Formats: sequence, C-alpha cells, structure tokens
Amino acid sequence: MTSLALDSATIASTVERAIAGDELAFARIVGAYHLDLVRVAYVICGDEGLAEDAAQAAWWIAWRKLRSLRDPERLKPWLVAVAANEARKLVRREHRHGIVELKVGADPSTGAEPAGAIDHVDLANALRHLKPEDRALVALRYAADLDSSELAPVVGMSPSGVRTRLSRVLDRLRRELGDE
Amino acid sequence: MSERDAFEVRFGAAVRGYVGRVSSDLDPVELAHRIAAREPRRHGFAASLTWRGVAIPRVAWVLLLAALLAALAGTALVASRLLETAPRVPPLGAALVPTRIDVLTPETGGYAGVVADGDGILWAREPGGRLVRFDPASGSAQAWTIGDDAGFGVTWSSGFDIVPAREGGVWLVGLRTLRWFDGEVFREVIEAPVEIAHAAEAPDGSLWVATGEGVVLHWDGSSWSRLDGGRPNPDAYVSAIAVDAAGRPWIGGITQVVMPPDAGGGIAESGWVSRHDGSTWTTFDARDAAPLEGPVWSIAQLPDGAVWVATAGRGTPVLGEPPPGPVGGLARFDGASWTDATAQLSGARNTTSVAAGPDGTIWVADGDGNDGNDGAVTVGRFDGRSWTSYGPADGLPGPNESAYVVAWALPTKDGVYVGTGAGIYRLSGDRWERAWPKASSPMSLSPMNPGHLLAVSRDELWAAGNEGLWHFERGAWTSEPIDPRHPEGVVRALTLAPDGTPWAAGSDGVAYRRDGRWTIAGAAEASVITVGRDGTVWVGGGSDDLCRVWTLRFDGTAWASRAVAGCPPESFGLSSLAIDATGALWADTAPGCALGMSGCTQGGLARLDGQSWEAIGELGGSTVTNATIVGTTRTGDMWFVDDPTESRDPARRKNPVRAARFDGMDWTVVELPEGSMADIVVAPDGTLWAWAYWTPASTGSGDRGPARYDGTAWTFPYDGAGLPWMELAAVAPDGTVFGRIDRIDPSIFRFPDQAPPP
Repeated sequence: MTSLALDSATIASTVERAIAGDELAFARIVGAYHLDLVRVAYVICGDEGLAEDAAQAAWWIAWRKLRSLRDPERLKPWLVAVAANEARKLVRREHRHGIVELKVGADPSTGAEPAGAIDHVDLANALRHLKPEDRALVALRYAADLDSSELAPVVGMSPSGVRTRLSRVLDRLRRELGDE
Repeated sequence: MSERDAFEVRFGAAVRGYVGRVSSDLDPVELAHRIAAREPRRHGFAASLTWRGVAIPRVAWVLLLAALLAALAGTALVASRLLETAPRVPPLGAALVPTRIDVLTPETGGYAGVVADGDGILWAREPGGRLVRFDPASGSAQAWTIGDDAGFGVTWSSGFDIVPAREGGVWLVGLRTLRWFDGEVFREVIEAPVEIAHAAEAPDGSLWVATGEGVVLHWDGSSWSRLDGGRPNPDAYVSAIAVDAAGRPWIGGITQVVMPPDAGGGIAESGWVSRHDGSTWTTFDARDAAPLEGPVWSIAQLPDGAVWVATAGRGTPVLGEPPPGPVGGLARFDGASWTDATAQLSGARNTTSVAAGPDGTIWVADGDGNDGNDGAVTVGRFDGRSWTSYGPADGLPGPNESAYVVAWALPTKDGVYVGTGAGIYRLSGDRWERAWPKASSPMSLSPMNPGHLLAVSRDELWAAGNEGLWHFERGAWTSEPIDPRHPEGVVRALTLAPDGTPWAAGSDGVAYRRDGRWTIAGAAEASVITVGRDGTVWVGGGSDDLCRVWTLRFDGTAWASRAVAGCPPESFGLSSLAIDATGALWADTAPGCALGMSGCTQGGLARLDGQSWEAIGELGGSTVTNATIVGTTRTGDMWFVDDPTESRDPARRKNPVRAARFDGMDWTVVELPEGSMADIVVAPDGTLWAWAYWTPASTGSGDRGPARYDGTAWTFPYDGAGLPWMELAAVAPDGTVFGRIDRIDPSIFRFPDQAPPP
C-alpha cells in the first residue's frame, strides 16, 4: 500500500468529516497514515504480522477518539502514539522467538552501503533488547520522525525529558551495536 | 559532530531503512467501512457522551436523561429487557466428563485468584491450569484440571474468573459460560449471550455479569435480561462487578484515556464505579472520591448498604515514568456521600482487594507490585474505628516472594485468609501463617516458558526456552542445562536422533544426552539441528553467520566439524533443518535484510543437493508462499506446511493452509481444516495433527479443537468438548501428542494415547 499525503487544509477538513461519521474521510486518513503506524509498530514488535495487528487496533481507537483531537495538525503524532501503545501491549501479550522475528518486505537496496552503516540484523537484535517503552520511543523518533517537541505531548514527558530519555537509550544502543 | 551525534545519524538512517522495507496490503476503504459499520457515529447529545475529555459530559448526560424522561412520561420505566434469544441451558447436575488430557506443568501454589464460598471453603485458581479447593477445617486441598473435565479449561480463557457461590462451591466464568462447580459436579452450566468479563452472585442467588465494555446482564435462574440505561462508561473497561444489599449491580473499571497532544498527550488510566438504579446508571469518579483516580480492582458491599472500593496503580503513561505520589487507595460510599479512607491506611495504598467480614470488619489486601515496587503483600484491618496493618514482618510474603501483585482478603466465618501468588495465608493471633500449600513449590512456571518441546516418550519430555532447559521424567520437572556452568543457557532447538538420543543446539553449542548427562559435541553457538540416519549431525545458525550450516561427525575419538558451502538461497537465517527419505538435507529459512547483503532475502525452502543448495519454489505443484518444515515420519516422509496469511483473524485469512508430504519421489498435498493454523505436528506413523481454532459459521460455533488426519480424512475427536485453544507442539515416537499454551503463563498438555472420551 502506498501512503497518500494530506496537506494541512485537507487534514483539517478530513478529520472534521471523519468525526461526523464520514467513513470515506476516515478511509483517507487510514490511507495516508497506515504505513506510518505499521512501521512504528514494527520497530516495537519486530514482526510484520503483529505490527499490522497493532496498526489496525489503533485505527479502531482512532475512530472512537478522533473527536478528542482539537488540533488536526497533531494528527500524525497522535496516531502513531496510539499505534505504539497498541504495539507495546501486543509485545507483552505475544511470545515470540528466534530470528524469524525479522521479516521485511521487498524493496532491496542495491547500492553500496556507507561505511559504518548499521546492519539491520544487529539493529533488530539491539531493539529486541530494549524495553518495549524504549522501543516505542525509538520508533516514534526515528521511524515516525517526530522531534522532541512533537514527542513530548504524545508520550507525556517534557521535551527535555524526551531528549534525556532518548540519550540514555542511544547510549545503550551504541554499546549494543559495538559503536563505542 | 561528536561520535555520539554521528552514531545518531547512522542509527536514524538504519531505522528508516529497516522500516522502509515494511509494507502493508491493507485496503483503507474496507477497514474504514468495517470500523464505521461496527461502531456507527452517534449524533446529538449522545455523541458527546463517549469521551471523558469533553468539557461538560455531565451536563450532556443530564440533558439527555431529561429528554428520555420526557419522552417516557406517563409510561413505566422498564429496568431491563428480556433477550430475544433464549440461551441453551444444559441439564443441572452435569457430571464431570474426563478428557484424559494431562496437565504436565508443575503445581506451584502461586494463585492468580482466590475466593471464599458461602461455606467458608477457599477456592483458588492456578494460572497453570488447576482449580484448587482448600478446606480450612481439615487443612486439606483437592485440585481439578482440564483432564477431569473440559469445563476446567476456562482457566485459560481470557475472561476467566472465579466467583464464590453462596450455597457453596464456585462459579467458573468462561468467555461465554458460567459453571457452578460444587466440588463434585457442575450443578449448573449457563451459556451467556455475551463475552463475560466479570460476574457476581446477588444476595437472592441470581447472577449478574458484565462484559469488558460495560454491558450488564442479569440471570434470574431461567433467562437473561439486559440492563437498560446503556453502558455507564462507554470508553472504559470493566474490571469488577458487585451487587449491593438492595440487589443493585455496581460495576467499576478503568478508563484508558488517549490524551490528545494538545491536552497533554500520553496514555493515562483512571477509575470509576457505576451503580444501576433500576433504569439508569449513576457514575462516580475521582471528582467524587480521590481514590477513584486509580483503576478499580475490587468492590465490597456491606449488609448496611455501605460500599467500599479498592483502587491501585494510578496512571500508566505510554512512555515515561509513572506519576509520583499515591497510586491508589480505598474509598467508602455510605449511600449518600463518599469518604477517602486512604489516609488512614499505613502502607496499603495500592489496594487490590477489599472485603467485609461477617462481623463487619473491613479487610484490604495489597500486592504492592505496581510500577517497580517489590510485590510484598500487606493487609489492612478496619474495625470501624482504626486500622491495623500487617506486612512481611508479620508473616506475609515478602519482597519478590509472591508471583502475582494481586492479593485477596478473605474474611470467613472460620477465620481470615489472604490469597497471594505465594499461597493462601491464615491469620493466627497476630501472625500470618501459610495454610496452603504446605511446602514451598520446587519451581515456578514462568521461567520455564517452553518455546520448544521435544517428546522422547509418553513419560519423558524436554522443554527449552529463553530461561534454560527443563526435563520431565517420572512425573516431575527438573532444570537440566546442557552446560551446568550456565544454568540459564538458551536452547534454541531440540531434536531426537534416529537412535533415540536427544540433541540440543543453543548458546552453549551443540550437545547430546546419554547416560543421564549432556555432552557438548561442538562449542559453536547454533540455532537449528537435525540428525541423519548415518549419525551425521547437521547444525546451523548461531549468532554471527545466521545462515551457515555445518556437520558434526564423531571420528572415533572426537567430534569433527565441517562447513557446508554457502547459505541456502534467499536465506537470511535458518528456522529448521530436516533430512528426507533420500538422505538429502532440507532447510527452512527466514527472510530478512542486512546492509552487508546486496538486498533483501525472501526466505523459503531449500534442499542441499550434494554440495549445492536448490531453492524449492513449489510444494506439490503449488507455489510456496510461507512454507515451513513440519517434520519427518518413521519412513522418512517429510511434511511441510504452507500458510499464506499468517493471521489468527478469520477475517484476514483468504487462503487455506496446506500441508504437503514429500516421500523422496512424489508430493501429496492436504488442505487443512478451516480454522487451522500452520502450527501442526506429524506423528512418526504419518498421522497429522492440527488445531482448528474456530469453526465455520455454517457448522456451529466454538473451537473444534485438535484435528487428526489419518491419510484419508480429517476427524475432530474433541469436537464440541470445549477445550481451550492451544498449539500442538510435539509428538513422541510412541505417538503421544503434546500441546502447549503460552498465553499469560505457560502450560503443557499430554493427550491420551487412544481414542478421546465419549
């Protein structure tokens, strides 16, 4: 599936219509952000099936709670945070083993990789060693590309708190990935 | 740029690359329609009632209720309505029907729920699958499992709860059934038209049940009726139900608030209780009593009409630290107003249960395990004037001694007990003493968490997981790591050699077990293993080169290792290895990507043809989509399973799961029964076993259980028995089938060797 971007004005009107019960408007929002939700969940779950389940669960919540979103500009941070929470719950519920957790789709990069690039296997393993909460933080920061000011409200921390927490997580990841 | 900043740049790029390859084939229009059709938008006043964050929900409630009252003026309000569909009610006094399925998980004495019935008998449920009846008078206990009747399998259903019966015995609350068990028979079995989350017996003996979403039903002894008044708190989850002295149902629960970013963000939880007054709900929350800031765990009703509510664990942000300060408490409602009793408690602010004794004394218990606390159990006693507190210094379980953070206060006519994750304790004078079990459990369940099972015989089993290797023999489990220096060494694969020798592969290398001990044959870490008829041990995986394969052969004095050239095609890592009837090695490989590779691999099946790997793209003429090796039979036939969808959600499954047999020459394809997943097992004689997780709507409802394929057709030996769904995990050489449930707490089951019960 390919994400269809929505501009600011479109987001506001689409959210408004979805709140009013327009399911096609809601479908547009799903189409625009579903992949973001799946990818955030994937960082937390390490499993495509679970990530898809988490993202779909998040849409059910979004449908119920969309009317609480007073600033449509914050739609994406809010949605990915909901997906992160669902993914976190799924990870705690599921019991997964072994390397088969790493499943990614086709879109192979055929170019030469830059020196010092992080191997995806190592990355997946390092992520697995993090607490789900920290994985969620990594997912929201680097997969959803939210900065600390966007992250702060959706994770219930101050921007500086987010930076401190991220800093600790990155330090741990550096050790895990042998970067020190 | 510092090294750390440079790392962040590289790390961010790696994460984006890692997730960039994830795709989804979701149809947004279909999903949106499914959601909107299931939960249509309400309009007008009702639309503003669903969200806790709305500024004036109570005003909206009042206006709506006023409108309803006006519309109904002149007519009598009806408290509830009879459901149109009458449930099937099996005959009373249903005797137990043994399934002869053994529960092999050890008895721990760590209880996940304890209640006291009307006769003062204590009933406890073990997460590993036992219902325990403890008689305080005799100090003896008796236990029942799924082997005694499939009805006890509700232990594993997600809505499972036990509710004391006033006439003695206990109600087992399944997902859609209520079973009254008196210690000998099921005196009543009631099917509910909803998925039950919690149940309670009223003073008149009738039953009230609540769904997780807050729909409340009443069973009057012959039929169900649903309470009018809607759901009291549509955005909340119900965690407790009780019936007060006047026969009015109370429910309480948790509201999980997904805070919008512009309102602070994060996820927060808070508590609430609602009372049904005959036609409508009255809801109380933190604005009425401060302790309701925490999720509700327990509601106690007193004969004088007072209601006590225990709450614990305030606030669970999606990320970050929990909020500071008290995390729960105790609230009392006298019929008109609320009192915060928390301040009078010393050390028991995380109250998980509250109960009233026959003399009116209030007892609260506290698991204190929330948010990083150590899980020590405390109990508080309120005699009407002051509180007395008890803790580990008084004999209660200390830090990290209780397997569960919940404790249950159980004042009975014969004394006061508290149920904990470390057993049942009795107050004797000023000291608490463990009443049951008598001795400490030899091991706990959780560390076992068996990811891999190897069945040696009906009476011998190995279970491996991330916390070590366990051996079941002569009816008992023992921890038996392959390297005693590393008791928690990870074993990732187990296999039985053709000569009956168990082999293991994991973080401590490759080992075999003879003469009662493990011997390491190769020190290299491995994750897959199989043994050929000629004694060659094929090993693969590990921590560095995930797809490499090598052999181990004993040359008379030592084990010699030899690499097999190259990785199987399209392999990122290895999932399993097996040898077919011709002696050829097969590999089942996992997909993945790595920057050092030229691209992503798709994974799949491959066969080692002499010195080179051949990708297998078809199984019996059909294209492989997501195939794995199931196992080999005594004659060398190899079985595979191909699951195109990998989802337990029936709505998301479009293609049937297929199994395929390769006898060295020809293929045979068998379609699995509808509702089956890819976790199938094959017996040495070629019998296939699958689990039908759901039943096609056309043929009824419920789990059909294990399905057996004898080479001609599928049969369902436990169809209609109501077994809890599980994964079939192993078959012993003697044909014994073993199952596993790893939800919440792991459980291992052994099926009877012959036909199932009538």
